[in-house]
Amino acid sequence: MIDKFKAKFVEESMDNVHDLEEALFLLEKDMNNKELIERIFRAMHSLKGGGAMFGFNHLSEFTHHLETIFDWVRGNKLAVSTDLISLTFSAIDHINHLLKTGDLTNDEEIADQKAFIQRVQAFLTLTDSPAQKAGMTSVEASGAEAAIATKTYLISFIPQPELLQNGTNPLYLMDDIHALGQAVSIAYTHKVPSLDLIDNTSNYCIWQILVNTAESVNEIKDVFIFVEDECELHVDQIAETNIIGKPEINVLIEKALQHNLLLTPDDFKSGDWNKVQTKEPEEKKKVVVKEHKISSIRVTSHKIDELVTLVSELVTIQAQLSLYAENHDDPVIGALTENIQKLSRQLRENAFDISLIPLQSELMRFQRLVRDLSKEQNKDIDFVIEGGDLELDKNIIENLTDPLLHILRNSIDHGIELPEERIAKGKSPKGTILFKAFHSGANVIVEISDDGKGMDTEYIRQKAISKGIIEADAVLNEKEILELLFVSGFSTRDTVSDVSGRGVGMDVVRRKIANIRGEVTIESQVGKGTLISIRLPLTLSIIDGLLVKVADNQYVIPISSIDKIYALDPAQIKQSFNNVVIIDKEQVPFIDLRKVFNEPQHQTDIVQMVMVKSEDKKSGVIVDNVVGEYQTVVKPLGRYLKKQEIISGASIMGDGTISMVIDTSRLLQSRKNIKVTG
Amino acid sequence: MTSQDLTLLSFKIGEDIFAVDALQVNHILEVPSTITAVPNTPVFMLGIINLHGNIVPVVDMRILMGNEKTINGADTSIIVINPNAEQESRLGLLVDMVKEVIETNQSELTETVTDGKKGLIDTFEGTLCINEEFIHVIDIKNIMEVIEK
Repeated sequence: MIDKFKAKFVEESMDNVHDLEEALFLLEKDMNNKELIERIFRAMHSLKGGGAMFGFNHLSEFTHHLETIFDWVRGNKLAVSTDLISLTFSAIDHINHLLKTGDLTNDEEIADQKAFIQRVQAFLTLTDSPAQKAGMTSVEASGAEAAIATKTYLISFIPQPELLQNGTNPLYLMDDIHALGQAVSIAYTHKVPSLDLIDNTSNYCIWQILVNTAESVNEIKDVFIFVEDECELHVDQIAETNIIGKPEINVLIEKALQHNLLLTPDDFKSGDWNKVQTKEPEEKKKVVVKEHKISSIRVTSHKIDELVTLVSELVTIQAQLSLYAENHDDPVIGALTENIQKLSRQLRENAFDISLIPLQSELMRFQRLVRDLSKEQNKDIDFVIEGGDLELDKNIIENLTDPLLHILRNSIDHGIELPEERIAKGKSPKGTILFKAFHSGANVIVEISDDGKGMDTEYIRQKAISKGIIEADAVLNEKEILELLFVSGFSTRDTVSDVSGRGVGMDVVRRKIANIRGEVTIESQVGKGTLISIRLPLTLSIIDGLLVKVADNQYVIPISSIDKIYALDPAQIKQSFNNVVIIDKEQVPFIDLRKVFNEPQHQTDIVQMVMVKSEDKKSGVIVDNVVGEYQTVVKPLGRYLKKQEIISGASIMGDGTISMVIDTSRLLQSRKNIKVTG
Repeated sequence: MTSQDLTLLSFKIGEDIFAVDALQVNHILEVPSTITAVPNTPVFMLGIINLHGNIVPVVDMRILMGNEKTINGADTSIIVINPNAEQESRLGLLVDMVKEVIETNQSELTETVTDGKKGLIDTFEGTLCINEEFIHVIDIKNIMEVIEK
């Protein structure tokens, strides 16, 4: 049970850390932004409190010190500096580590943490003179001073029955409130049912607390930070002075308890102790609205995967039903089938929409990489993100992160020059890496471009020759040379290091992207920069395909890669010595699937050629005949057929037979003789 | 040592009797009318079948065991195993005949004698002797490795 809570805490904390990182990035650009400081402080506070609650003691201890720093910052006792932000960034790494491993057991790590805490504390002693560094006005500070006069607040805490199920003990919350100042708590127990009806995991009580404190409304609300979602909470200022213990108040409390009627701020208005009514009702309204609305829920990705699988199966069954309806001339079944088809299409679209997550969630890691690496290498880089709110299938995002990190690392390591170098070349000393994501038809395109030194094609050529990838006298155009970067063996594993040549492991990048049915291309200009473009499908499991027949088997070719379809005489293919046919006076290279799949030669009068394009390659693919267009669910072939590269999956047709899905980019790559069209 | 800790499913390939761990067995199927052949795969890989909407590859155990006679009869069946309960590891084994479920002890197994010449499978979990019949217990991991190669 407790492990479940722990897992939930870790998951939620990851969100907090994420939020923290995001706020920190923004703060770096706008160091005086109060709102951001507040956000950081709150995230720290949640981590500290939650950590202590769930037995992450080191985490709690560690964040406590950070929280202190940001408390000082928000109290204008400390100014935000680049050093402070850097320290907090490394602190976030440490927090991540603590969340992953739990309490430290290794002595060395404990010593590390101690050292770290000392660094944090050093900050506090270093800048003892308040607010002077950042040149902040002391007006705000004195404003804070004035607030020391205590006020009396009415807290109405109306928890939902589920409150206790998260392991919250409301009495501790009361204790926390009492710690803020003089307080009287009133517990309403009228909702507690008779003993036989009590569910001992539910909460039935409602509390109201009168507290006299110098702290702000936000401070009071912070006490309830962990139960925000499980309760209705109102904090209203009812008096400018301490009114607790006055006989009139006691009468009010007595009355409220007798009638089981909750006290309202209005009850206190009549009292002569209160001359100024300051709290605007607006804020109260805001709080109520916020707590009644649940705009999103957290679901495990496993459940979503399952939903998507079920929907995929439904689509398959529905196809079978359509086939049955077609073959049986029954108008009722026909109409029903049509309706089911419509519904399942909507359901499918919905289910896939659910499994989409914004790219944004991963961008933080990229920003972090750029920031850290550029600092490390003394490069000045502006990382610009466009289209971060674009949504992609979560399986795609999961598989995309590593290749993208790799590409970014390449851009920083080898693309962007040092500031001096850039000035010498007449560029602005600050380099730019642009990360851009956008829709293009049924695809999503992610582009990473830099304005660095670009790639020297002659160097790549020489390297390819020395590695024996191309002949010394091979004539290649620029595009073909850049294509060499993707050839495995171009950059061998032993040269993979931070200082190796550009193009490190690009073959791995391409392979990983190909696994999610994506394509990578490079464009580069010496001195101007490099653009790497990744084309991705929107979802992985359903494709629009063209069903074709080759010998006894049916195959699916993704529509997205198809250009045109021609009918040919088989004799034309047989005559060709170099696998080229002439269409419209143009030479078109082709791949005969019968040959690729080792099937006997064509016996028919006519064959069809599907023009397929992938990346920059274009080729005809000869099939026996085209059956039609189908929308199909792609199923994996399993581990035993992984070596079968040209076939990326299989799909079950309406009649239960299987057709195999052709990976066009692999098919085209399998034939080296295809000329790259420039 | 009375408790029986090993449950096996035995089957025939030619005249020899083999067995697999019954707990890894998912289904026993008749040979379907079509097994979709996947091009450019080794001979033992018969193809893929549709098992309740999922794709399952099927291998011919007779070829893996080095038998030349591979004619399907009325008793020919497919044993679908699901090692590690992973969807992607599901595999159909085509055998001449499924025999029976045997409850036995790990300690009853003796070392299997192989000459390593016939067939592709060379490691076994052991051999069991019941009623003067030898039952060779197949090492599923080894089969998986051989097929993945």
